Amino acid sequence: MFHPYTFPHTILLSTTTMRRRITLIHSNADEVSVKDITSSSLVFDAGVNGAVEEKYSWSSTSGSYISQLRVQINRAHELDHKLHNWSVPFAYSYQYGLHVYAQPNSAGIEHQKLFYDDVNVILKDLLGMAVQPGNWIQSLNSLYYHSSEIPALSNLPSHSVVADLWTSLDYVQTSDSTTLKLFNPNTTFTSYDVSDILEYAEVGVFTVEAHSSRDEVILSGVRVILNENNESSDPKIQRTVFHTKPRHRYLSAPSANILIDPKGLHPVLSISLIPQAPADHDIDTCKLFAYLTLNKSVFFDKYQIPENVTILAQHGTKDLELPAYSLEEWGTELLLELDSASDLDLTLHSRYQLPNKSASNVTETIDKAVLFYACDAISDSHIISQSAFDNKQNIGGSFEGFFTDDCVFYHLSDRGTLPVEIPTLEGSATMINLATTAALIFGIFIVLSSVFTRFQRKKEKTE
Amino acid sequence: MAIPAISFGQLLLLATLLRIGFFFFGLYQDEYMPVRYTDIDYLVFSDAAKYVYQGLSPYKRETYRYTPLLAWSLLPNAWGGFYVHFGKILFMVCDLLTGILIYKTLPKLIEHQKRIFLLAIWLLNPMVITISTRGSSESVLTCFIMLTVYYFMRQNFTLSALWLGLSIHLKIYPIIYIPAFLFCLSARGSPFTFVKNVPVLNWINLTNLWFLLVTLVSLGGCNYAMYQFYGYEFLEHSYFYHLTRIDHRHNFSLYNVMLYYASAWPHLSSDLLSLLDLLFNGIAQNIEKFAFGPQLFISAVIIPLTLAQSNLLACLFIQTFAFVTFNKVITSQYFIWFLIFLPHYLGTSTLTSKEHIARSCMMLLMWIMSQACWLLYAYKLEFLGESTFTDGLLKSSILFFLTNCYLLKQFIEYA
Repeated sequence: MFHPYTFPHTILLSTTTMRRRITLIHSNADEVSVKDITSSSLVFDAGVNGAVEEKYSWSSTSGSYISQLRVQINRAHELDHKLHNWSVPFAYSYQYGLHVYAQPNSAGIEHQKLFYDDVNVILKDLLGMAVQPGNWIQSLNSLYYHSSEIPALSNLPSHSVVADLWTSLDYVQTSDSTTLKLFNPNTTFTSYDVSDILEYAEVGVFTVEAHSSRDEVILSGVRVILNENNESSDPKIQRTVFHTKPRHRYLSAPSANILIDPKGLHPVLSISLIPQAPADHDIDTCKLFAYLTLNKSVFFDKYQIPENVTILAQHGTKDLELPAYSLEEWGTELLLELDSASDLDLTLHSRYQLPNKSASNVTETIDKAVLFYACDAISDSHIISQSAFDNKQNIGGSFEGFFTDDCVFYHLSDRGTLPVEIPTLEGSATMINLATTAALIFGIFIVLSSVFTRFQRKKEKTE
Repeated sequence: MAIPAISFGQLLLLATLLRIGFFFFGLYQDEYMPVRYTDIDYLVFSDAAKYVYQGLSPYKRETYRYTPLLAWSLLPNAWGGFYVHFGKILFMVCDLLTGILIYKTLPKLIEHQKRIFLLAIWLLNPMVITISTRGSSESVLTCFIMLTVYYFMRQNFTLSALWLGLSIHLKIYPIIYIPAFLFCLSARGSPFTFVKNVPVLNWINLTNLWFLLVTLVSLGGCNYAMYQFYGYEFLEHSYFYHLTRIDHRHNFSLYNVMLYYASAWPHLSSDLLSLLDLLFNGIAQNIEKFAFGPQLFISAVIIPLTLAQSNLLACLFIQTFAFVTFNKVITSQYFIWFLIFLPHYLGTSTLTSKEHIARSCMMLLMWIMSQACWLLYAYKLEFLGESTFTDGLLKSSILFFLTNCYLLKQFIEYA
């Protein structure tokens, strides 16, 4: 059967349309010297340690039924930017795990099955997995699937610097183009040779200038263009100094404490030591938010919210009673606004789990809440959106989509998951059914025997 | 030492003060203690009332599965301020009204102090007071049911049937009283001549036929009116949900753990199941339907036939007790359903005679202990996270069920 969609692996392996951009930002304490450079290769004297982002882009079609598709994966548990300050300009601080956002076009809305088929063709090829139609939830402007289980990435482009060592991935496919970004906040870059594939490649090696500030990052370094013109044997090298305004920023204060207090069937997500609002020059009003992605094993009851919390968005299953195994949707996405930076307890409720013949508890993992201040940028806000480091798109990007383009975010919590023990029914169905049935029959017998006794007594009296 | 004699008015005053005290303590607990006093259902009713106030359907509130009349009657809750407690005050008033109606329907032959004592079982009962002051709506229903009984005792069968229809509209279970009232009325009129020799059909007479007709008109009228307002979602949430629900969450019911397994059955891997498991599959999968069989057979057929004509109020008490015992979902609030008739039952039963007082105390103790046993395991599950489904909840729900069956036996024999 003819499928109108062009398979992504065909595109990924294509050598005619792909453009590559590798950006390395290293510590300003390190000296970088180049050992050898040609029109299609670059070799450093010694390995350069720093944050590396690889961006691949090519023209493509997203199929007949998809308007946009975005896959984001975060494998890092901590805020890397706090650990490695050279990675500050990059924007990969979304929630841990796999995130897939899909938006159908008008044909996809009409032919939903074909839309899901199209999405799964891409996911199968990129991640070796498929998402069942019922597993999605309706998010802000797209369908959203999330899992803390991270699939292995297949069909990576050749000549990758970070290869399988990436901690974050961002794949965006629109109606006419595809971009894939891989990121590692702390890796070693030794050489880059694209002589055998003849693809356009741009390599930027930068350092963050010491006089940078949190809201104004100045980068200096070189850009090297490889394979720009096949006829020329010299690479194009440009010394570059530029400044950028990061959308995602990090406070020097320690991250907020996020813990789970088991409390039986009602685990409490406890958030404490929340840092105070930042005071950068380019921002005005700041508000405190918590973004939660809760898998279906637990839920947040919107009718039991603490007084200083407002629910701004709740997407996903809203059922307050069904067991986890009866729900197809992966869970719930929540955006909460907090009135103040005081400690907060969010009571969650666990759903019943499948009975188990040998275990009395199951351990589920829930994502830590993403805690952040969102602030309005009041000066040069256009620089934020125009930055090559900004990853804000029409769909996806964790909580980014809920905010306008002139918003900047100050992250206050580490990423990761927390284990939650949920008691479950242990034992054999046969034993339970037999015991229940036997008790029922015995109970009926007790009641009927009393009716019989009463009739007997009445009969004796009348006689 | 003699118990000081108190009048009906004094008892009512004491009951009112107790309710006011519990109400204000509830406000304090909600404000300052980690566990809230107010029932979660009260928040559901209040939210539903807010939706109605905004011109929307009360069913926009998840888990609102009641008649829209309840949300309508709580409209002042949506005004905010102290009015958010309007519903609780309404429930407390209904609770007191129920007490007054119990007093008025207790047999006049019972001596005054015993009537006061029996009435105190309702009016001073901490379970009853807690349930209405926490914001559970059961007292509205108990008030309607007692109005049914009140008018029935005054031989105003039309008004009685109207209230019965409204009661069934509020909650389905009072439907089990129809056979009892009809069978009781069969002794108060002549059968139709053309069926007077036909067994069963000769129970039908003009009086009980009229009672049935008015009940159906009252019920049908309410349902039709609500359907006109809210359409299918009214039927779905108020009726169909209750008939088909598989309540897997732990509760006192004998069926509870079995229903948990039944709800998970389609999701369990078949290689984990034994042949016997598979044999039980058919029953377990349809347990929510099978459970109605013994429940209705005992509470709506056997007990009315045994007791309705000889002692109607004892019959209503035992019917309700049996209905709750065999129900597939049981929570503490359901106990209120039969507690309204307990004063009547005890007023005429020999169980309160000196001869049987030890037996009565033992019955009460058995009921409390078997319930406490279940509550202990429920607490361990709910708040300590221990898996007590099989070793605790299953066994204690069987114990509670068999205790209730034993009590039923005693109630029937001593009625």
